[in-house]
Amino acid sequence: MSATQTPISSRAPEGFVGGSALSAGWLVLAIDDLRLALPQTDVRQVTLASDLEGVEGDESRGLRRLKRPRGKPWLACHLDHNLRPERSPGARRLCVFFGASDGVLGLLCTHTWLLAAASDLRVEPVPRCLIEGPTPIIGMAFFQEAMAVVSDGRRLGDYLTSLRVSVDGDSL
Amino acid sequence: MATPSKAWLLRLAQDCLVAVSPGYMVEYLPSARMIPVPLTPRHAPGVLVWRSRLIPVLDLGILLTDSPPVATPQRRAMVLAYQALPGAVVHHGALFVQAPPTEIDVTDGMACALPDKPAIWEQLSHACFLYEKQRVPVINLLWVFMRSYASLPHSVPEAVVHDPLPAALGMENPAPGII
Repeated sequence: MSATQTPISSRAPEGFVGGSALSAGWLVLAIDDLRLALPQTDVRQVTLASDLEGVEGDESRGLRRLKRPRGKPWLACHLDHNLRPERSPGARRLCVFFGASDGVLGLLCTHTWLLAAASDLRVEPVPRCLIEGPTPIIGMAFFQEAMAVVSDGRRLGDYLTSLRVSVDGDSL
Repeated sequence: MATPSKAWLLRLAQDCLVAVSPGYMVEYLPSARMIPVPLTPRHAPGVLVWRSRLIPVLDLGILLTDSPPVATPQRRAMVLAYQALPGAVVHHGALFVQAPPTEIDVTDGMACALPDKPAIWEQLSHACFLYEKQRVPVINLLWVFMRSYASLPHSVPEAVVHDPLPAALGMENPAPGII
C-alpha cells in the first residue's frame, strides 16, 4: 500500500481534484463501513456536501438527489453501506463527482483516501457466487486490513441511474 | 465388502447436514469475521480475509432451510478448496457452519436419494447418503461456489448427472492440490 493514502476530507472543499491532474491510482470513498474504490481518472471533483442543494419535489422519491448550486447542475445522491437508497445522508459530508456514461454524477461519503498508483490496490474479480443481479461492483481488493469494493464511473453511474428514472430532464 | 470412504460432515443449520470429501477440506475457523459485500444474495453475504486472501463465504443454511441470517459478527466457518478441472487453479471458499466438522466412514450401502425439498439440492449436490436416519447430501463445491445465484429458483440443468458415492467423495478423482 502506498504511503500516499492521505485522508483528504480536511482539504480544500471544492475543485482540488481535477480530471487531468490525477491520471492513475484510486479514490476510495467511505460510506459507513463500506469502502468503495473508483479510478482517479473517473473522478471530476470532491466537494463538501453542505455546498449542495436539494432537488425540489424529491421528497416523495426513494432516492434523494442533490445538485451543485454553481456551474453545471451535476446531480448527486446518497446510498447506504449496502449501496441501497437511504432517506438521510447522515454524516456524509463529502461528495465525489465522477464521470458516468451520460454526464457527471455524485455520491456522498464520509471520508476519502487517495491511492497514488493503480498497483496500490490488487483488484480481484468478484466470485460468481456473490453476484445476484445488476451491480456496479467489478472487483474487490485489500484495503487497510479489510476490503474495498471496486467500481468505475460508468458502472456506478449506470447503477445510480437504474435506481431513479429521470426527473425534469435530469439524468439521474 | 467395499472399503469405506471418508467424508466430513458440516452442520449448516439445525436440521441441515452436508458432506464434503476430505480432500477438499482446508481449515476450520472457529471465529471468522465476515466482511459484507453490497448487493449480494442473502445467503452469500460477503468475504473472509483468509491467509491474506479475500474468499467468498456462504451461509447455505439460509438457502436450504430458509432460516434467518445470523447477525453475529464472529462465526464458525469451514474453508474449502475447489477447482474447475483436475490440474486447474485451486480456488477457496468458505461455508458458515454451526459446529466443528466431524469425520465419518461412508459405504456404498448408505447411498440414498437427495431430499425432495428444497429443489436446489439437485444443483448443489452430486450424491447423498443416509447417516443416523438423516439424508446427507454430498455437496459439489464447484456448483456451490462457481455459480451465480442471480435467478433463483432454478430448474435442474440438463447437464447435471449425479455421481455414485465413491466418485462424489473424491475416490475416483484426485483432490485439488490443497496448500
